Amino acid sequence: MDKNINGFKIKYGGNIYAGNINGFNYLIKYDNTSLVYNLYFNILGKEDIKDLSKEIKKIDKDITIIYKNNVLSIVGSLREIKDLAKVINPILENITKYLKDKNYKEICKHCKEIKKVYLTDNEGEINYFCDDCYKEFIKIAEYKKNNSKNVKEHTFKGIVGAIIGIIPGILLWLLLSYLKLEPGIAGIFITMGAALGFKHFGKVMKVSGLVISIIIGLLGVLIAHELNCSIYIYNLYKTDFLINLWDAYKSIPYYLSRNNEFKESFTNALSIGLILSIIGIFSSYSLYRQSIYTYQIKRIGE
Amino acid sequence: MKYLKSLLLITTIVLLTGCTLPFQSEKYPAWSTNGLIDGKTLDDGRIVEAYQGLGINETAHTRWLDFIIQDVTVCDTFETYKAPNGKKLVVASIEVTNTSDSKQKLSLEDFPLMWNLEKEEASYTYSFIPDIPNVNFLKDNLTIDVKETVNFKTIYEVDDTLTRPFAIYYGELYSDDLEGNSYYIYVR
Repeated sequence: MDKNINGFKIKYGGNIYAGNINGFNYLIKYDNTSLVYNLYFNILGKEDIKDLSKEIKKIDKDITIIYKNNVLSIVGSLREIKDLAKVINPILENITKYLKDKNYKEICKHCKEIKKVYLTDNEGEINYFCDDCYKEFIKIAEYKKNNSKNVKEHTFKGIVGAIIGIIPGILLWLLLSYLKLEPGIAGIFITMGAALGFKHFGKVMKVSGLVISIIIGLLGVLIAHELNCSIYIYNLYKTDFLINLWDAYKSIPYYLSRNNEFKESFTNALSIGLILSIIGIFSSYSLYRQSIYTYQIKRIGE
Repeated sequence: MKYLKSLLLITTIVLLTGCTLPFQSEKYPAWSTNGLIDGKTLDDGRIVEAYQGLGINETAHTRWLDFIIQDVTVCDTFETYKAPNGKKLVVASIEVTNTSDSKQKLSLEDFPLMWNLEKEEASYTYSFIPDIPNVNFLKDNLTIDVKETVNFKTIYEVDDTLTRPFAIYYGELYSDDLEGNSYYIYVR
């Protein structure tokens, strides 16, 4: 189907078609769900397109055609996606013929100047840009990238932030246990809290920050678990024994070695907590990636 | 990223092995109890087979006596008595008050030292009387008059591998040979 579109050259990202017909570059974007297509031309010329509109509506009366800010935009819909080529080809033919006859000129999307243009992915924006604008984009992106490298990470503050960040997750662990629900779920929030806390107080997260926040997060999971076990043992024995939470904490290994049921429950909860904490660790990595400015600016089809 | 994955894997393994954390111990907790626990009440109203855990300087109120272990020292030499090779000495200072209305007798088999408390059958040893002048040790057939308070020391010879917690034990025994309650003074 794709190759049946007139002048078709590139299919990008699954729902973007780019091509050239009668000397004019075009871009088609369609939405899989609504089956609405948008056809674009970046051109400079007469603003009044009533004649063109009349001509195109003979092909499809439901089409909308607008020329604004040097962008000729045609919006239409399809019954089925396989009709795209059949519907759009006569439109392409008619429009480009009109543009040629009326001496419209192709321009760069960004600077609006009449220049040779190239299909470009500018950080996710797909369009036609001239060589000068392309170089300018690269220059700006490089500047941002170098700037991001120079931002200093406040490690100590970040550590404080990570420690503060794990507290809500630890409290959630205890609450879930109190409600007889699986407390390990809170592992996600503990590691996520460590990451967010580090980033908030440390301003930026670099490799050292990433490692520190992950370690604090995992230790947070362990602390939550040990605290939960201490509370369990304390509640179990507080009536008969003169103990406090600290005594209960110190005795955990003793009860682990003697009580199989407790040991099983201990290991299960810790395992689940650590496994689920991996989800939270992804947030650490995501924050780290945000701190590293990278860009994607490239020409398509070259 | 590879380094990070290795670090995470190692950390997870370490955490999952359930290794002992700071201040934790696999040893018997040796907690003081809230009075006598786990006993049963006989038809005649006597509470038997219960036990109480206490610490140093805590008074145990038994059926006929009150006693308090004031001090416990672990050493190689006490006064002029030196422990043999591979052994060490445990010396306790005990105060006993007869709270009953009849004379009470103590023997060397009262107040044994117990260790391996986590086991079903704990290990134990009785005190002995070393040849040390001017020190009042527990002796056989020590009689305590009604309302009288006595002070004495007990001394035990144990392996030098003995570690805390251990306990000094006292068990009630009725005249009909019925075992009463048990009292453990933990040395932590």
